[in-house]
Amino acid sequence: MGHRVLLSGAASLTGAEVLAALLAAGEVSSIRLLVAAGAAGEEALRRLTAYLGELPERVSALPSELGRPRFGLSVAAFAELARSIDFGIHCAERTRPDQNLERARRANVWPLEGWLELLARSSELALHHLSTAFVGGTRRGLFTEFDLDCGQGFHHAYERSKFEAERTLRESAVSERVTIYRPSHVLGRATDGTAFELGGAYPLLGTLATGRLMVGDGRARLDLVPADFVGTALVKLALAEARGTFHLVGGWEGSLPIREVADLAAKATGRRRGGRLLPRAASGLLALSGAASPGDLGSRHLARHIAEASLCQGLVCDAYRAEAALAPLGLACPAPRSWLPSAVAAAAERRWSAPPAGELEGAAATPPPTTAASARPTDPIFGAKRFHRIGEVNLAFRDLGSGEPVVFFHGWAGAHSWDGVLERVLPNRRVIVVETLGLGDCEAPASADYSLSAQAARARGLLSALEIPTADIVGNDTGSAIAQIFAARWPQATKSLVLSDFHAEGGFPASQVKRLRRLMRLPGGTRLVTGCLRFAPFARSAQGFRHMVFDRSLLSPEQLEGYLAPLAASRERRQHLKRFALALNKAEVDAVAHLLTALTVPTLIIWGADNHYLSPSWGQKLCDDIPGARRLALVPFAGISCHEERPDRFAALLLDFWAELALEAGVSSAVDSPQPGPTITTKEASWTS
Amino acid sequence: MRSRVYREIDAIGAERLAELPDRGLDFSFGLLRAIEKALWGELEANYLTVEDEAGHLLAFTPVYTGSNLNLNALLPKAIQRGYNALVNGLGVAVATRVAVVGCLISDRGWIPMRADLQDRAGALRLLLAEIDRVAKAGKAELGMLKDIHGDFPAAERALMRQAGFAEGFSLPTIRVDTAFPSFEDYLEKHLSKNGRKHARKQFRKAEGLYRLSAITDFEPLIPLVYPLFRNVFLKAKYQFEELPPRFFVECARSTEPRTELVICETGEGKIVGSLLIFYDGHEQLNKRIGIDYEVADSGLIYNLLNYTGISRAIERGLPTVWLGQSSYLPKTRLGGELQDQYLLLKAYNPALKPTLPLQRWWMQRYSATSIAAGLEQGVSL
Repeated sequence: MGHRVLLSGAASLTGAEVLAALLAAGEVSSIRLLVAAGAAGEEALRRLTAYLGELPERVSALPSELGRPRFGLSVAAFAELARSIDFGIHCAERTRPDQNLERARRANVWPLEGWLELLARSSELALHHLSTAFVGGTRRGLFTEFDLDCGQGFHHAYERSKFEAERTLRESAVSERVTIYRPSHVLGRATDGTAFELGGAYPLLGTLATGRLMVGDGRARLDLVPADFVGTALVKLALAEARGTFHLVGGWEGSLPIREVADLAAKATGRRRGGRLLPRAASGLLALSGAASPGDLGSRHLARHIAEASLCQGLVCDAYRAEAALAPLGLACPAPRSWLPSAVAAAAERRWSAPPAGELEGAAATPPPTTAASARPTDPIFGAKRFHRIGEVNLAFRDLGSGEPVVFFHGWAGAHSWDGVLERVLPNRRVIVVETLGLGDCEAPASADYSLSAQAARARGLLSALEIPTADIVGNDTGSAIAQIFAARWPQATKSLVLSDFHAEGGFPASQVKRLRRLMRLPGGTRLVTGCLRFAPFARSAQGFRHMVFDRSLLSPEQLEGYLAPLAASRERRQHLKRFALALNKAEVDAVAHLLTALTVPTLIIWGADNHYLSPSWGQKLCDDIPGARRLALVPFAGISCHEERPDRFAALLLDFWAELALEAGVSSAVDSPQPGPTITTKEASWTS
Repeated sequence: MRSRVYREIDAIGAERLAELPDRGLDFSFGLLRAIEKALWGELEANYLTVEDEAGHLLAFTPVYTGSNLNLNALLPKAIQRGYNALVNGLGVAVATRVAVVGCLISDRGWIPMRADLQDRAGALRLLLAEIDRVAKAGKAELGMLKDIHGDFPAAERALMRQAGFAEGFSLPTIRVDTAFPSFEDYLEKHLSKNGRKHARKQFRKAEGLYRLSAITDFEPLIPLVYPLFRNVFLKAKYQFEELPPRFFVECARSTEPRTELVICETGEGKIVGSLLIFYDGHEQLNKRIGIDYEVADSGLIYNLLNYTGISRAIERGLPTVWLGQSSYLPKTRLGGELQDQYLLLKAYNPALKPTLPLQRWWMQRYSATSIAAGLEQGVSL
């Protein structure tokens, strides 16, 4: 029997060539393509058929969503998938060289969670991951197949997200079954210049072909490789069961000076000579006008950034391992002078035209949202918001899924900050997200009680109304305070407790909130505060939302709007916010802190390792204070809103914890949870005290 | 007597190079060939010789031209950062092309000459004239006679200065005397009381944890040990040249001189340290060390590798081991002796000429005396 292959991202520049090489390989008996569900997937198949010809019967499509846990498949279907393949090839990626890190991470890092889970299910499975040589980022000098973290920076989100993806794979427990391929700038086929799409390095080539004045260094070298070489090399190495990292590049000898590439590209498009190159130091001048825009492959602004990042001397890729492995297979990277003109001509014939809408982003680029900002309230997985009147408060909540109930309390990041975690928990659990009065959609008159104790009491009332006698309780930030009060007062209703990033003695309320309260007491103060927060630089500052997350690049305009909308979308909300902020009372949390010392409910403490407001030592203190606390787990590279910043890790910790409790209770069947990603368990072990 | 330029070391050959007995391991055929095969980027190799009418070598030196070397490695950090920013901003065109005379990765620089050569000065002048020609042909803006060892005749260094080279100190090299009948004798007679105590403590600590072995045919191990060498390079304070995996492959294939790899393995068989050794009938060169810094005992592994390297030399009856130009504190604890080396610089670009006196002044801090004084105060380079 031949090899059975699972391929993602077939409808991409390199993925299509990988599929072509798989079809040409006699020893492959079946190829399953992970494609987007619905019309997008059908369109991808139609385009693949148009490019490669009628696909044989051994090729089948598997509708899926790469960014979702288990690729969006059911547990049974996922288990069946793990049994029915020999190796996977992951080519889906977002190659657009912009600064949108959130989208880049969703497309380039998140899908690995599913792949790693697949590998964890079958010890025979191997993964072949398409990365890029530009994980080397801004490093100048030699970059070998053994290198990854050399202390480099990154020009754009694509480089950074691919770097993070490789790090995830290297740190995983299944790293010995993962092979990484790093091509340099990929263009069309060496044979005739045709390309499935004008992604990859085409925006760069287009800039060179059409630009008259651009930022760049004529003497620096550009490493270009044809997509068919990458596809064939990848498949041959995969079939030869190669392991490790391979540079599929031209190297120094096989790369061309940028001046020469610009001339070749210009001549192939009918111009006499290539554009003029200005040193990078002069890029400020070009910023006024932008660089040439190659067809509709990108804006003038993007073209300038591409030139700035790529048209200067950076990495020199060493391909020792790839050359040693490919030589016996009779494969070598073709010299660019022989094929580059045809690639340029073919692209020019297509008028440097972008593929149909959505193609550049690829099927993998639309995984589910994780943050409040990107949440899609209409998505069935997030369900409709419901209200339940308790006293004079109309309590907003979401009740989703089925199974053992778990209640989530949120803090200043808002109720939707839990969405990334919910996504991973929902397949096995009934989830109730209770909104905090003052920080969400709850409705109440001015006379309502905004204190944390009252919020906990209302949550208890809601659970009674929903006929939930006992539930797992999870809280973050101020939501963690509510969870603590809930558990301390009603331990019999608390099956287990997960507390994140809040300690009553750690300066409550935070100094930033105290400043807000002082301002809000002034006439028009609340309006002034929310008005300032609408000003993006202020919102991104330390006085705004800067320290909600560790990685400031996550604070995109959409994300900031996600934080702000529940607080300041209307006059009523501003009033709720003011009442909530003024009601925060240290005495009540102090009282609860005392009760916690007698709490024996199984408790897990999760803390953002880079929490600016409360260092992990407060988490350790909480862990020491609560007799039922099992351990403190740190989420690396995450701030106070760690559940939002690293939902994969947070969810894995939750699932692990609940599985552990279920096992102890002798009801392992109660938790039919997907195995937490091996990367997560390995990494966390070292961080868990 | 005439000068010649070769583009490949194979064109000279190991036998002819062996005619220069004072060349040392740094100028051995195998090492120079490994460097040549591993050159990357713009770097190009030329081999300059002075020969008699019969074609016998009288003097010899390699010259490497290119800009992908960290030629400012010994200068202040501010200069290094400024230079990098300049190249980033204005492009490769402003990068300084340099002609490095001598072995690119030498630990003990020299100009090898035939022992019975009468007119050493004449041969050296011919060589210096050829260096100028090759440097200018390679568009070098700076010529650098790399790490000329203090034992090189002073009169001939004076000739170099007369030829326009400005002389400053380079990082000293470290020599260990290994003329002892056994490693135990070396520990007893050569090390200080503290050094001896430290060594024994290290061995005790390693018992049952780490296993050390020397491997001659180590080419298959390169994918495992190269990342360790790379770790050390990326962590090093002075990074002059970057060596790709091919260098180590060629070293493994070298027979003149002989090479071996000392590896340190954990109980589970994981390689956590490696030491590349060159040796011939006269001396041993501990060329590159590799460490897995994720292991908590990286300091212990470093010491074990060095002690094992020294014990290998003693077993072979070699009287001298060269330990290279870094980590002076632990290496002096191993019984190493600091020896002065000199860097001679010549500006082919007039704009660089005024900087040479400043560079000389800065590099005074690299004299063996200054470094030894620093070591006494616990400051190690």
